[in-house]
Amino acid sequence: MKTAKCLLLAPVALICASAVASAQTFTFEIGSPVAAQDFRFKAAPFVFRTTGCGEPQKAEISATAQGIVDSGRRSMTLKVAPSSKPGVYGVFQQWDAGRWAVILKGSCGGAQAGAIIPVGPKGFVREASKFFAHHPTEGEIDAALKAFPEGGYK
Amino acid sequence: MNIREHLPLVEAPQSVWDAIEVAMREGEYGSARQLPRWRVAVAAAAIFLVAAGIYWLRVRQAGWIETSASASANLRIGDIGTVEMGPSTRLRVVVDRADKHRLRLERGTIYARIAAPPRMFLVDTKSGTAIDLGCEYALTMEEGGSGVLRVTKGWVAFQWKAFESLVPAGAKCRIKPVEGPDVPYFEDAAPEFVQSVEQGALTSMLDSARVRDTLTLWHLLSRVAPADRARVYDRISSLTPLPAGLSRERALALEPETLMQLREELAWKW
Repeated sequence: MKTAKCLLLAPVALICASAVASAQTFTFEIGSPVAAQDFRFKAAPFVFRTTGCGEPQKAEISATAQGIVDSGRRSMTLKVAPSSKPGVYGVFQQWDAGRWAVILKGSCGGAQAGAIIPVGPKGFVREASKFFAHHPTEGEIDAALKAFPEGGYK
Repeated sequence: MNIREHLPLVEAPQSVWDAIEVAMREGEYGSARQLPRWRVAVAAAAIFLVAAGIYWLRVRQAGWIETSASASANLRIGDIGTVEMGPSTRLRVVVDRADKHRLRLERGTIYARIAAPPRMFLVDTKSGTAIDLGCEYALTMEEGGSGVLRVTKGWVAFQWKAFESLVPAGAKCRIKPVEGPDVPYFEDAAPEFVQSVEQGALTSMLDSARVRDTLTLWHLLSRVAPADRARVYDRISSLTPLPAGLSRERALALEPETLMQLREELAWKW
């Protein structure tokens, strides 16, 4: 009897583990505009794609720009533009001077993903970008903005 | 293309000026009679027609536009952008249509800012063609056919016969006479990597490559000897994980679809 229960539970456990694993791998990947191979994004500071989402066309994605301008915090909602490739998107610069980071939030089924992407005059700063398995918290965003070097990223 | 805004100065033949001077001198020192207005008008019209004719002949038939050593000029490319010509630059309009604009750059530097679907704007040189894919770039060419392509936004393809180099923003590509485009590389690469590219030193290039330098390594795949191809591919795969379904064997065999798949994946690291 116990053996039968174990035999029954094992595949169930395996299915659950797979589901959990899939949910945990939902994430963002960022790249320069050439990665999208879409001329409409040539002026975008960066493009991004989702990975680990079973149905990328159903992922819910939002983006904001958060920054520090003249010692004051600023925030603006950005339009997320889809490319011709499923799961590939771009955002366009709407901010001016100051220290800015783009905050990405994504949901795919029950999974979440987030990213904080500092931007400079030459586009995104890959080395300073951070990725999360949750939507970035205010504390994480604050920390990222405070980590900007003196004079901003070059 | 609004060529009329960028006319070179054309002088009327000396005979026209001489005729005017004679006419004016006769009025001053001769019989003190006034020069008839109609003769002045005719002379002015003659100067204009001669100058316009020379312009027509030089631009419409030859189509060359040239800047001096101390001048630059801006060309408007239809509704899709602009081309800034640097000093000592000579180029010609080859095609000027709503759906395609094509220049030939003989020598000098142009800086193109284009906002259009891909392949609407092309620039021919002695050593290949720059194909706009949505970008801003600077292209400098010497008379002998050597040059440099630098991209500041978007990306550009430079083609010569069987060779094509894809040059994204932040990268540059040397252009060689007869050989066409060299492999592109990012300008922020380590000095030893840049030196290796310029010297064609494969081992040093592989040793000093970063993830981002897979731009250069991908281009090398189709340009190195078959015996070296595996080294290049294996170095790429050691720098960044490749998709599970990507076939090493097909990449080494330079199968176009596999190479394109590899490039699309690597582009996320560039």
